[in-house]
Amino acid sequence: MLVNDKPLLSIVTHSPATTIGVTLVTLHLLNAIFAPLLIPYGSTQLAGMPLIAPGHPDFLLGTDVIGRDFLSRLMMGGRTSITVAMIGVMGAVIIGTFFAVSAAHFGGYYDDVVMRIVDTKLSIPGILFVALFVVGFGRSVTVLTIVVGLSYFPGAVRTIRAQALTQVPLAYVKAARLRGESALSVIIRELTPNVIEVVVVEFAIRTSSAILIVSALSFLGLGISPPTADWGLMVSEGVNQIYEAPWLILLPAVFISTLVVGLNFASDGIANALGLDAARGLGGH
Amino acid sequence: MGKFKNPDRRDVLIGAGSTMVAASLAGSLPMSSALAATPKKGGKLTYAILTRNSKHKSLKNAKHPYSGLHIRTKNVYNTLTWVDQGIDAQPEVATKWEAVEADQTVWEVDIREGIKFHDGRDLTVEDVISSYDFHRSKKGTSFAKKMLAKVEKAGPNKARFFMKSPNSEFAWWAAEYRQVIMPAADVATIGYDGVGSGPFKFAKIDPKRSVTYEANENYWGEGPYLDTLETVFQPSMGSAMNGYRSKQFDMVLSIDPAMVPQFEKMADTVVDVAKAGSQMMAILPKYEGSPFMDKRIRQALTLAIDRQKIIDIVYGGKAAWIPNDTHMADFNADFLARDVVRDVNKAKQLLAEAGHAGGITLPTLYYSSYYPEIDRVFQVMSESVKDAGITMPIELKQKSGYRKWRVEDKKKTRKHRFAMGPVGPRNPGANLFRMARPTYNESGYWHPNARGDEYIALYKKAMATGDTLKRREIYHEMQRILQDEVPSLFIIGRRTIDVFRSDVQGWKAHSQGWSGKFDKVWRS
Amino acid sequence: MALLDVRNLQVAYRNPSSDDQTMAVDGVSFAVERGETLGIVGESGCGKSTLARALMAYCRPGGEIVGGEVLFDGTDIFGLKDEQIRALRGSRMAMVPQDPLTSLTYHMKVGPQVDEILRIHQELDAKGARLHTLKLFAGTNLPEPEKIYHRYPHENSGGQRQRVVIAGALACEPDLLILDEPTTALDTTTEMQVLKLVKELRDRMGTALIYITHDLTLTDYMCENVLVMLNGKVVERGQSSSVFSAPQTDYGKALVAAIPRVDAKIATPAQPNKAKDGAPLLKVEHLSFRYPSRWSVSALFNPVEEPLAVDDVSFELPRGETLGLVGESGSGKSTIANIIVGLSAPTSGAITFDGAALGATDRHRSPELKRRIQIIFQDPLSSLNPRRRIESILTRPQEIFFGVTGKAARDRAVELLEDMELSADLLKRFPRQLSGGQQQRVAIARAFAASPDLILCDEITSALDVSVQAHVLRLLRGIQIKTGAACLFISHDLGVVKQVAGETVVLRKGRAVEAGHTSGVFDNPSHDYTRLLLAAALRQENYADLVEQASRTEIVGNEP
Repeated sequence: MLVNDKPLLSIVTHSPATTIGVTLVTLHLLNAIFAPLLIPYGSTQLAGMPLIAPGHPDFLLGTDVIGRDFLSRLMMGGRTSITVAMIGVMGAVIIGTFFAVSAAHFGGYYDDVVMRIVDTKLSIPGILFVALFVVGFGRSVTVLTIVVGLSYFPGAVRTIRAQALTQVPLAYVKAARLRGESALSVIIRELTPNVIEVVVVEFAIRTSSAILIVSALSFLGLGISPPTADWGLMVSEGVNQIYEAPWLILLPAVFISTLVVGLNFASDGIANALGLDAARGLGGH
Repeated sequence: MGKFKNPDRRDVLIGAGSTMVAASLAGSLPMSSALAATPKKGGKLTYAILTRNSKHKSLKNAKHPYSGLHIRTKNVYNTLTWVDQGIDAQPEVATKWEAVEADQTVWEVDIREGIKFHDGRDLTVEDVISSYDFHRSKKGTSFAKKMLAKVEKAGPNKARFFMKSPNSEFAWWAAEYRQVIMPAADVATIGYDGVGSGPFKFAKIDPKRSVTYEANENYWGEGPYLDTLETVFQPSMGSAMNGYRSKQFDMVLSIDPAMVPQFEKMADTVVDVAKAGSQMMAILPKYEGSPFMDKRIRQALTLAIDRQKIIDIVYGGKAAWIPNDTHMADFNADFLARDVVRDVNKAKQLLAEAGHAGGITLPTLYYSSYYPEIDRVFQVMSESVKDAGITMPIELKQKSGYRKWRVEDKKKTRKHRFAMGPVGPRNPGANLFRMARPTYNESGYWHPNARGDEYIALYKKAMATGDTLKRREIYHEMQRILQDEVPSLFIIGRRTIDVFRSDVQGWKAHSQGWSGKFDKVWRS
Repeated sequence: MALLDVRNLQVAYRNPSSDDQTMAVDGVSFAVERGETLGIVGESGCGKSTLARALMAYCRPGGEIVGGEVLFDGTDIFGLKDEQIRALRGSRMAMVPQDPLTSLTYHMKVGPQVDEILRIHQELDAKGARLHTLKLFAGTNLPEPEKIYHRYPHENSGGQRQRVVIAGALACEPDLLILDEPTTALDTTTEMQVLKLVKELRDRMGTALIYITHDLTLTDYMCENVLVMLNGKVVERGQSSSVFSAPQTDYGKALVAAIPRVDAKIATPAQPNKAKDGAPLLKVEHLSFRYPSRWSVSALFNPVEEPLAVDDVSFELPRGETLGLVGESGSGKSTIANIIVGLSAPTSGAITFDGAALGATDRHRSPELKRRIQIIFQDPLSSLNPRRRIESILTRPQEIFFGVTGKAARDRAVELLEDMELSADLLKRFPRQLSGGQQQRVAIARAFAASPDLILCDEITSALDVSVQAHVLRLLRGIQIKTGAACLFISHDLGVVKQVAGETVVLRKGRAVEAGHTSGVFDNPSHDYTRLLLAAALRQENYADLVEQASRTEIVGNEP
């Protein structure tokens, strides 16, 4: 299978870091998808005594503060935040692509207005914006998804617009205009397919950051609510037991970081392999 | 009794402190040897409480007893009476109180002589009248507005209280934390100067963070022994523990029960468990379309909760008590325990009768972080009701704005929700009054209802009954009504756990957070 | 000892889809003496640019130097450490790439960019570097070096940019200068100026030059010796004059034959397709165009009008005829194409198409009118949507203009491809998978999918190799005759225009300086500027004198 004239295998093994990243992400995704079939206990089931240390024959990774199987909770603990992050960022990226490409295409006042809105949002620190939003609108998975979408929308617009601007002056766009294609058709049919790699990489990179934000919110008590198994929430549940039961925060932290690091490695590596660094403003010009 | 047995866990949680806990529960002071020693003057005590001082809006109102100095008004002010650790009413500004009418509507109170306010003025009966004139003018913030008709002078040191309705438990009513005695002043200005007659005076206020008090050298009673007392608001349990470890605090009040083992491992530390504490209740909304309109579902829900399991898992098997579907606390002499605490089969049967033989999914139960262990309580509860085929999702809500969000608004545009609220332990009259108020949110609009009318009539009768034993009979009858009707859900009762250094003498964990007094506390 | 001795050099590219490698440079050996100029000629894909990079120990991603050695002044550069190679590059050997924009940092002023080289390699201080840069700018005939110094790359013309890059390359007076198609992006007169400059600098500094180009006439003009490359191998070598006049190999002969020559006698001069039937298809009268002023605070108080990019140009194009529009870059010829096609609105003047006035821009024109006027752009790759298959590219205009979709559209697409001598297999491909010539043929096919009456060709051959050029022109001619479309053929290449156009208009700085039958214009030019263009095209020895003369009479400007 070829992506941008390059075989998929050579992209995902672009560098050792990319290979590690892609492997970690694949393992996490497989786990997230199949965890309900694999877990030994229900993720909210009070399966045993509280605070059993890892290594117990019935509870491989021990139990948590109220006696739930920690392995089951760890395996289930990414599903909600990954889903929230992915749907939120996907929404941001899809809607952002339309605004970005249309802003690049039309230019002028429309571009100015879109970019000023984007700049305004970008000047608000991310976690603050999210926290204010959740406090204002209450916490629920829907609100979280929307707020994740809103927080990544401006960055997506900015990055994708930069890529779209490289396409707008090209002759194929003029050719489309001259044969009477509508503006919508130029945006969707002509320009959008040519920013798609940036959109995909943007999605991957922002998803990792969104997972961190969702986990942070859950840790702060603003995100996912108990009794859902969620890594951020598990860290906060275990934080007061740090001296007694350090695994309660170490293990979820390992799960969060392997996923986030994996996503970063994978998306950076793939962006690199596709030569998209410049478009993302990471490398030279 | 839950099928879950966990002696190992209990050892872990209670550990070395178990003897101390038991001793404390028996009602003696934590360090009995301390009683023998002579109190020593001097020193400073810093204690942390696990809440925000959210009512401190500005320095202007910071000293006012209504502005919520974490409801610990006792440091600076006195009330007519004081409720001790056994929930008995004790004299404070009042030396004596008696009902002068048989129907318990008029009470005469003797005012103690020789009390001086912090500004040197003598406390007189005029100050008491002026203070209560203020208390009954304040809407919605104290019991005085609803219950007190007027106060008049009945002698040089005697005040006469005219209640709107009979109140046989006047002595406990007079101990409410807001009903403090302040130097007489206009209703608009009284209390803002922060002058009281209590053992400590305001020294420094850092809104939201801390309040520092210094000793009142002219205190009328025994003490104070400490030179300086400081309250620090530290909502995070982890930070409070680290503060205690690093000797920033000498005492942490009302800790997370899960932290007990860690405190017990520390040297020179006392873990003291009170007789009781707040309980967690949930409004069961009763309006068209709510499953809680059906009494059988309400009964099934309370029978399905495995409260013993909550105590075993969350409270180390000890630091909590099983409520009885009323606001009563288990240390009230008039407390009537349920015959059956948990009966899953009965719960299933009730659900089947109500048309939910295959189980029922209830609306989401909301709660907020009132207590550090609350997440665990609700998760264990939500799991335990599954045994009876009840699916009850739970969701943690933000603390800020939570109360406003969960209760019905004045314009009735928003229904009261299936949501948790905290209940402080009080005297039986105050406890049982809560379900007797026709429009009270916490009952989830149980009234109008025949049993409710009966209940209200019983309440009125009790309030007019001076004899304690006769009242007890009425109270038992009222509790039976509530246990059958289950107008609201009572989930679990806490036993307040305080930790402090072993050189702190004279402190005893109090079931009512606001009634703890530092006047006789000293450091050895 | 030769300055540069290349022995059996081999460079390979990994095939992305399999594990084997393709040899891009396959066993090339040659030597360059100090002060010598060596030309390396070949068509695109022959490996000449890869070779040029390998000489500096550079490789494109995926490439690898697999064999041979490059001895620079006796040292094998492949054996050097990275930092030693870096020290060598820029100081003792330098390279001027094809597109000057890629080697300039777009957000830095050009002067400081050259300063930087001097400060790194010559260890000059800031002031010294600046003075030296200005001297270099003056040395490369940049007008007003002080002004240029403070400009950003995009504020300079192509010729100026290339001269800045050459100044940068010469900053450290290298022993060897590699020029990789340095003038391809420039028009003929600018090209001649740059070439003259390089020659002068070589003579002055004794620098050895390696000149890489696809244009045999240039090596004839520039170089003593020449290598002809094909498929990574050297197929012919010798003195450039002899290779040019009497090539020995078949490939060399074909290469020379394909060059469109202004002085060639054309067997079948361009003829009108149809007899003139009175009213011309396109009539341009007193057309003028001015770019809108750039907004700035100073412009508010002291408004300065941009100069006219097109100044009072008139011409007529009869049905079926081909009109050549000739001029160097900045002469306004592409602007005229943009106006006719509707991308820009004229400032003044009138355009009549088939007897009716044309709307100012495409927004004021009916779909039918848009169909009847088609344009083919200079860069074939950028004019085809990279994410659309050829089938989609060729069927879309049919759907828009005629509502034809499905099999009918596909059949027509195949027919168009056949007209362009392309296989129907290409339908499933993406533009990037085609060669440059194939891409341009697809672009022509797309234009003719609309069955236009007028086709505008904007420098359509300038990005193509000579042999491909000839082929594309022949196919264009064929389809034009078949459909009877008129053609406005815009080019800076007089040789090409002579081949295709019946009549020619010569543009200079937006003005038409000469117009008439192509043969008349080229055989008996009446204007000095036309003579200059011809001289440049012929690489005449007296060209330099003409340039001298021209710059005195301000015929050739240095304006951006």
